Amino acid sequence: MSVPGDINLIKTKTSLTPEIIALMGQLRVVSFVGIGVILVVGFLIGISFLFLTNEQRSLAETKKQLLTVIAADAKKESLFFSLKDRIPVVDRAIQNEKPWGQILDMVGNVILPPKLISLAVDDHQVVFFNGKAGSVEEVAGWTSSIIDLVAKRRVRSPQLVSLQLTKEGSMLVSFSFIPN
Amino acid sequence: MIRRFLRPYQGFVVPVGMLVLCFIVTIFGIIPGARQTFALFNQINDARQEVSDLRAKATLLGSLDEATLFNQLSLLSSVIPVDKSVPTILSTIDGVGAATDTIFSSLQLTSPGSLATEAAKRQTTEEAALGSYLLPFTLTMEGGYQQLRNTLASLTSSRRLLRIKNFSISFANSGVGRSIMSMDAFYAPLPKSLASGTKKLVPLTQKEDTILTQVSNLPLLSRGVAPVGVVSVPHIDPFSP
Repeated sequence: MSVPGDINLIKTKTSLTPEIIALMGQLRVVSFVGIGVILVVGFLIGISFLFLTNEQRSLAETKKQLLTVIAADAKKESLFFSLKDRIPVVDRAIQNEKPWGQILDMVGNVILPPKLISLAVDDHQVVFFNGKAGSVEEVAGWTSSIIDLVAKRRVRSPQLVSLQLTKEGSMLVSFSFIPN
Repeated sequence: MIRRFLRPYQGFVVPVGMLVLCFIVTIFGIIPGARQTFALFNQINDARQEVSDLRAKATLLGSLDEATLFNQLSLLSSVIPVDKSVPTILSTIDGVGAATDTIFSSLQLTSPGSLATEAAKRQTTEEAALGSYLLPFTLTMEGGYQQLRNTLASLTSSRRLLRIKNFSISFANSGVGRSIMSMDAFYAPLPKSLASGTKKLVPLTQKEDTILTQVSNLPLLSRGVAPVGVVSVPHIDPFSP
């Protein structure tokens, strides 16, 4: 009970500036929004996780069933796998073959036995052949046939390896080329 | 005194507390949860792809005929046998000789080694590039120019694939030629590691189909001994999942 004439200098209420009051209000709004966002995001993550877990379980089940089906066809799978594995091997081997018949045809176009004495093909597929010519004109004819093959792009790098005149007057000639 | 000073600011306590809670929940709940969900999403994507591949594989295997596969593999194994198969080399040479009327005077296997598969044998660089092993041998034959020409063509295009590395022919005055050829016979064992259940399987491409047709059109020139067409079914890997 206050006695008239007493003076209370202590304020019963501390007043805040309007800025702080406004800040407090904004902070309250932000915090509620934050809680709201977290609840929504958390809910979405939880739902997604549950959905994905379910999906994973379902996929695992499907995979198991498919593996059972595939296991029943294991023999076919092994045969098919071996087939797929062997086809490129066979293809490479076929590609590796050289058309020797055609190469002999080319040599045959130039010179044939008994004028053709020998023929050889080395590891690098260079074709060497020796012929016995009765005259220079004959050698010139063979040379011209080889040049003709070069012009048709059937052979490359033609060489006159050697030319020898024998006692009998015949000529031993040696040629080489690389088939294309 | 301090209490009295803080009293006006007690309105901040609840929102600040909520914000701190938000922060903690984000750090320890939302972020790890999101990470785990994302990782699960990636796993499911992979699993979906795997299931899709397995479904395609099951469908493919279902559409294949075991007898046809066996015949196709037998065909390829007659072209390149699973082992050295020396008898088929001899029978092919014999058949070519009969077809072209050429006389084979000698055949010499350079390094026959084991008559079995020799799958553990180390491949040379060339063999590794070809994907098959090579059994070298030397062949000597006699005949006229055209006969020798036909023999050379037939030897490299028969059902049992042989390769001529190099050769020489010398002709006598009579026109009869004698040829010495360095040759290789191909052979390739069946693969050791076979497909596991989960391994992807691709259907035969058009190119592979063409190769199979090309191979089936190769003339069968072997005589007496049938080409190695019978293949045992490869073993299934018991440790595959």
